[in-house]
Amino acid sequence: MGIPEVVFMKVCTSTKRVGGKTVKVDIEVVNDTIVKVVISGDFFLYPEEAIHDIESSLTGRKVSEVASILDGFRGSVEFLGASIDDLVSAVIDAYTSCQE
Amino acid sequence: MWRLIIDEGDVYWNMAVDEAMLLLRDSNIIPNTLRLYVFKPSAVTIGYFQRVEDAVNLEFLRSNNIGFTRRISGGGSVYHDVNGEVTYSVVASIKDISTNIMDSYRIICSGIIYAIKEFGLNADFIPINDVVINGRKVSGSAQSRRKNALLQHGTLMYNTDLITLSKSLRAPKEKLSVHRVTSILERVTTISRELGRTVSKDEVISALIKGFSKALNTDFYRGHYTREELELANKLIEKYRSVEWVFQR
Repeated sequence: MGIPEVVFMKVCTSTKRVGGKTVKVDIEVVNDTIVKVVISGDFFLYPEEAIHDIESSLTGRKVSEVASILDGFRGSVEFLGASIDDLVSAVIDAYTSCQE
Repeated sequence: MWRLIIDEGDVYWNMAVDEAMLLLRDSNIIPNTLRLYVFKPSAVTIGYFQRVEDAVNLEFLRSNNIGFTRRISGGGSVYHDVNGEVTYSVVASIKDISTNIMDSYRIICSGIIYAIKEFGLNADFIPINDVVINGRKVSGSAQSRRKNALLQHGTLMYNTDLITLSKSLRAPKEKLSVHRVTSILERVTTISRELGRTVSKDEVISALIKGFSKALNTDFYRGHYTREELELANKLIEKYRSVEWVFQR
């Protein structure tokens, strides 16, 4: 019988204030890989359904890939009260807090 | 000339009608419409991207039988007081307002500012989506778009029970610090509070019609829902009642 692989799963949150709006990122990380992301808050995003594409694009990825993945949404979505850059930094902050 | 509909209903009906109107305006089946309505009974709506537990005080809503649902529009949570708030919906072709989202917020919110002026009060638009009197929020709006049409819905608080509002909604601590106040109570107001007299719903509706007429540069004719709107709203209402929709995040 082999030794079972050790899985380190953590659930972490980061909340950013941008102007008057809040962007919150909840992520689950398993062995340095993002396995689930929920982006929430009182910002506006057009079209709204793009939030699901943004969340799923980060699933299964490492934090080093987050900025370039989210860059890919520039031009196809419009944020009000938050930006792609805010989102990148919120995801990285949440991920980083998972490592602590 | 735009259609004007004056309505009241529960939270699920109100959100279902708004979405039905957006979809049917997008398909050019209904005309540009101003809908003025009341939530009966009082209820809460939360923004599309909000987590329920971050947006509302669930325990308070449940113990006070205050219904709530998720909107298709972004933004924050709202308490709709049956005796103190009128909600507006502007459903229009995007080309009749502005293709620029921020400009369209400004144009539509100017209808609220003109309506408040009818009471002799000055109000300001605070981007993205707030209207304030003396620095205190009296109206919040949220807009959703499809390819050809937009829906912007929002509040005008004329006599809202601000204690119930503050107990129903959760505001992040950081949000309060940005607004430099310590509670929702201190950063929101009503027309009645600002005027020092109790304003009626009919006065508010009449002021909103005048305000939007000026802002949108149109007259209104009093109309009714079409068969298509009623059928679609009756289908969509189940979504707004469902746990899957309301608790999706």
